Amino acid sequence: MSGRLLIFSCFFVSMSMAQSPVQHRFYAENNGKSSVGFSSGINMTTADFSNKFIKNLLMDKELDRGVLSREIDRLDESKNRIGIDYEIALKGSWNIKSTAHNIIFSVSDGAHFHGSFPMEAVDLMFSGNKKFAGDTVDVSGLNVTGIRFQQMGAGWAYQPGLNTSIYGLVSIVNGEQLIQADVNRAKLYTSTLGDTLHLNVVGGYKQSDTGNVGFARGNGLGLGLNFGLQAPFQAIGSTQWMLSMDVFNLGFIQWNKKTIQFDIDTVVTWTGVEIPDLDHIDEQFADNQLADSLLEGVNSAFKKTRLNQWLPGSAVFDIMQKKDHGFVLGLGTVVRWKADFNPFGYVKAGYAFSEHIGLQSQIGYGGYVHLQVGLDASLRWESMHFNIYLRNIEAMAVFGNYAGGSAGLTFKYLFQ
Amino acid sequence: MKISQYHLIIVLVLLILGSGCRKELSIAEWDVDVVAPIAFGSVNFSNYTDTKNFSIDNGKLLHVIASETLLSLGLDTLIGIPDYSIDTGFFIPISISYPPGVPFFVQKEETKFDLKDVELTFVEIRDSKIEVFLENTIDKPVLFTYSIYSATLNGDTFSIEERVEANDTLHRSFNLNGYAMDLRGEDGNGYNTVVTFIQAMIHPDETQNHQFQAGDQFNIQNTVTNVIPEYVVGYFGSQTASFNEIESVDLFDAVPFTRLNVTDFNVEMTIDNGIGADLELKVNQLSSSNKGDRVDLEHSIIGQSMKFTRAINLYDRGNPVKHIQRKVLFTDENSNLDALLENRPDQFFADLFVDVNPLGNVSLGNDFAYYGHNLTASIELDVPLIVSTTGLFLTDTFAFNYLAPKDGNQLDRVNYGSLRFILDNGYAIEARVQFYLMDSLGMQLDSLLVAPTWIAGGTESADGLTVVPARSILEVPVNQARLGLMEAATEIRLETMLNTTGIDSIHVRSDQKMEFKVVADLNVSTQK
Repeated sequence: MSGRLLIFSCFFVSMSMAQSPVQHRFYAENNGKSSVGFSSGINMTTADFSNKFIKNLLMDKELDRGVLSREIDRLDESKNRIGIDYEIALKGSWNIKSTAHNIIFSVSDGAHFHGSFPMEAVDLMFSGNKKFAGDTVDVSGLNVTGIRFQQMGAGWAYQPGLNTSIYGLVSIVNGEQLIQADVNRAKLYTSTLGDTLHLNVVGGYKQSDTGNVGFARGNGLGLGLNFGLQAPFQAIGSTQWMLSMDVFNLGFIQWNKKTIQFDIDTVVTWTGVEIPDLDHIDEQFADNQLADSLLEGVNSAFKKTRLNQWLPGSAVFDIMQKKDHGFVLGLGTVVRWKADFNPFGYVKAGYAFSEHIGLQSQIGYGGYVHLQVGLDASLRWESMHFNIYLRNIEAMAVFGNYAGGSAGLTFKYLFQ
Repeated sequence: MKISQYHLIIVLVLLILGSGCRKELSIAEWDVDVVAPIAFGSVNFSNYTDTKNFSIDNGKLLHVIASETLLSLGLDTLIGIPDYSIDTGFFIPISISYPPGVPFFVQKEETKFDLKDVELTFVEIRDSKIEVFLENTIDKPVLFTYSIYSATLNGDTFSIEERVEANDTLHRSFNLNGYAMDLRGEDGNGYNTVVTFIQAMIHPDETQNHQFQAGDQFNIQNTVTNVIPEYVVGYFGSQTASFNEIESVDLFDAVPFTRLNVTDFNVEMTIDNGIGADLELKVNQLSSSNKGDRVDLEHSIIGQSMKFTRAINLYDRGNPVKHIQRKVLFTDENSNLDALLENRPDQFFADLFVDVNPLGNVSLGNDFAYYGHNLTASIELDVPLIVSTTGLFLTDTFAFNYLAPKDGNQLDRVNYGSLRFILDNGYAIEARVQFYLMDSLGMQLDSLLVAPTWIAGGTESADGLTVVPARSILEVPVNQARLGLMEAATEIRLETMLNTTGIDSIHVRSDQKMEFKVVADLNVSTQK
């Protein structure tokens, strides 16, 4: 057993879900007890950028030209996606008089970012426009959405049987920050000598109050709903299976009336500041006329008003063999909305060392990436549950070709 | 120590709160190659030409024009009517009784102006001033009468009456503006003569005779000044006058060059006689001077006397005179005037001689002159800019103030690169240019180009109507050191040397221009 524990300690795993939501199924298996704990996780997933490039960008002092060049060469021409989710939550439940009913609560801080970048947009951003002189850069389809919010909620969980549970949690959502840009069409022409820039852009932009920035600042208010169930069933002979279905962050935020919104549909040709009089050349550079030209296309549509927005939520459907010992199999799917996320399907295989310890691996396809691998492990005792996961292991293994890195930790303490 | 559930909760809360102290995310620095236009415009020669000295014809050809009056001979020069005064008075030698209203002093007097050879018979006054001073030492008020019999206005003689109180003085001012003055005297055969009448009496309002005491006086001082005629008639005499005119010109001050070839010009001298007298004019010399380096005009007019018949009196106040004009044309065939211009003159010099009535009083005293109708000699110059030049040197300085962006000095991010000047030269003139950064004290900080660089000139069509522009691209290297100098600079001085590129002369037109574009081609760091 000690050897098994050593292996377990190395992997620290029990259930793997490479692109499953950072939210954890916390409220099942209370077994008539109260609980308190936390869950935290951060997922960064992309099929198009490599970890080598992202490490270079985020952790080094200077960007390596060779890394950048290789990165651009391997990008998809029109769409290169990246998705990032983060949540840290304090959670708990209070058992009502040792019955099957629990009142549950949660306080959390979460963030979501997803973006899609055409190859030339990345090239333009990291190389500049000189290499496109005499040509047109097409950055159409570039879009980014970033949202950060906090939730405080309460609900009810019911566990009529040992492995059967159902829960629902309603949260008030504080919208802290929103940035959303959608470039439907954008083409930048740079003349051969650089004496003319021609920009044709159609897109929209939304941003929460720029004067109220900081952790937990209130720029919007909304409601969120988490709910799910877990139930055992028998199939394929006498094999015991566990069915889980969860919905996270089904809700919305109404961003307040200071939210910046504009749509831009403009064509700008920039040839520099016109100098009709050489004798007063300094006065003629007093204003940034390029900015003025662009703003002409923006100002007419610029407004500050309320904005209703769906939360980037997710739904998970999962089936897993239930064994106290031996190999286990499972499968599942994840769908997300308002996150530019393809449906994600996965199959799982693991080993239950005992009723307390389990280790699982997973291979999945979809989401922000293509093929991905994850490991998940858990420790379970009567009064304490640990769960840890590592995802996008393929990106960590093949550093230069894939990107992503996800990890999470959940702890739950149960008491009477 | 036993760990309670409460301890665990506290630890969890601390863990969560601690997670808020994450390190701020920072990203790597990288360099981008940016190329973007900064400025554009055009330099048009006609923008820098003073409208006083340049004109544009229908074919859009630029012309240098100038007009100068070399001579103006008018009434004030021909006939200067002098100021004059009459001082007279009455002195009572014995004691005598005299009734009021009966003149005790009467004087009619003829005053003749000294106008040398000029013999005027008629003057109409445009402007004048009469000052009258009266002194009465008599113990009774005196009525004073002053009349100029020669001066009439609408049939009325000029006459004034003034009451001078006993033992008092009186000062009065009048004018004769608009009065016609017959200067022929009382007998009607004289000239330059004014007839005046003065009278004094005890004021008629007095009721009793006045007993004059020996020594009583009545003094009169009458002064006529600043007489400007509107119209004169008479004989203007036989006068001669020399005029040496020096006219400074600044047309070429800012345009130094080593060689200029003016191929076409149109210069006309107009001699206009608005005076009713015969005249003879001789142009002894016309020359241009460049800091003492003189070129004399060679033309048939030089040294030759030109006779002008008198102007014709139309007796029409709206258009009183028909002038007699003569025009003298200077061409490249009959003169060397182009040499005067190519001398890049700072002065023109004219030596003229005028003889009035060279044949004497042939008009029998009917010479006339109106105010503003003079004898003038003026010269009008019109030089189409069809030129060839070598070494035309132009310098211009314009203010330069680098404006640092509000969020900091973004130029720190520039690693290297260049400012690219794209020049499309629509003039058939090649130019060697250099830019200099100057500080506020006028000290040269740096030259922008590595060396003075030639800008190619356009190619003029055979008919001179169009020019195919020539493109030149100048690269000004930029680095941090140079950017620092640009920040310190307050002015940029442009030095240009121009050579025409045509086989012969080129046409300078108003629609020609040199277009310029400035492009920044820089390697820039995203952070600094």
